[in-house]
Amino acid sequence: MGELAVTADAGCVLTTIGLGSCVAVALLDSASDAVGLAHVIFPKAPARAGAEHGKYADTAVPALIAALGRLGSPRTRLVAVLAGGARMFSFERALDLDIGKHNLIAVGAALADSEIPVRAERTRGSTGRSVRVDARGGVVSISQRGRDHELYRVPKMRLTSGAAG
Amino acid sequence: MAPAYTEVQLDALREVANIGSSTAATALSSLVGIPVDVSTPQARAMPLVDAIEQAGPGEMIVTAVVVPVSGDLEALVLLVMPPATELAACRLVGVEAGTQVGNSALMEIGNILGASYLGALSTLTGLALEPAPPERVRDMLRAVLASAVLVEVSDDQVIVLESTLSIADQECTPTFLLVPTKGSVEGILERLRVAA
Repeated sequence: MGELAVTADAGCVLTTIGLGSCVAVALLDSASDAVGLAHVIFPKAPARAGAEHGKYADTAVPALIAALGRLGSPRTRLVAVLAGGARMFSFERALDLDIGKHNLIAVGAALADSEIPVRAERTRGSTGRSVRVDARGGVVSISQRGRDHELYRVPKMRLTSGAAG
Repeated sequence: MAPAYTEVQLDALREVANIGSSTAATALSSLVGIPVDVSTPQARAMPLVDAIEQAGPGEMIVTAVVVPVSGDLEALVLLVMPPATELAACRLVGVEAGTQVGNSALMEIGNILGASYLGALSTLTGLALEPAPPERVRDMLRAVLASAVLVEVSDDQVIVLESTLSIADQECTPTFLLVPTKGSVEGILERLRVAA
């Protein structure tokens, strides 16, 4: 929870489990095996130093982009896949505290700022979800209500043959 | 970071959870006609993320009945039932788990236990508590907890009061979680005369 990770190792799988109102942001390089995943809990980072980047929508997206950049994936090759942002309880609406919605809006804004397209999403509703990002082939799978399914697979336009791994 | 609460304060909070869950245990016992025990409550003050991650296996499917509380205290009371507990609880009140009747029975159990927990809390502290209608969800533990806790708490540090009931000879161990907002914790401590 609240963490972010990137990898260019095709043997690696990034996962996050039990998303409710939290949002999983997966960024995938459309031309290599590099992938990143952040588990966003809140829309906006507090104004204090040392806050963990992965936790907040407005810092997680730039941090993911920067980390993937260090692995050799330019921003212009990245695409996004989103999951989560559910409203698990109806009292959230009554209290105007639908944090899932606010998380999704903030993630959407941060991605738009960086001109990263969202290629697939499984968001909202009232269901808990787990997310699995397989670096090999850039495959994002979702598990919800006890069922697994593939949500997105990067259509590879290989720039180089035999990238990392 | 310095510890937010002293040992004396955590003890006082544990006692609050103890009295709440003991009263709920009595209510559950008279409902099912079997003795019900209560674990020693835990009071955990820790970062939000740790509190949620340490609560149990994140993908375990649980039934939870959640009662939002307002009034003098802003908090959530959650009654969390793992799968075996859900089955046993339904069996004890003579309904079939997983059916509509089973679900409404679980909701009612949650409602009764939540109300007795809160009633005891109110009597002990003199705080006026206004429980909202309870809500039942069935989903992954972490999704349920994180979403519930995030509604009430935006601070990084949370306090979770946890106590588990157990019904004699049954694998039935519903767990109570009381998650007050930070301001509300101060309110409880003040009433118990252990404020900082």
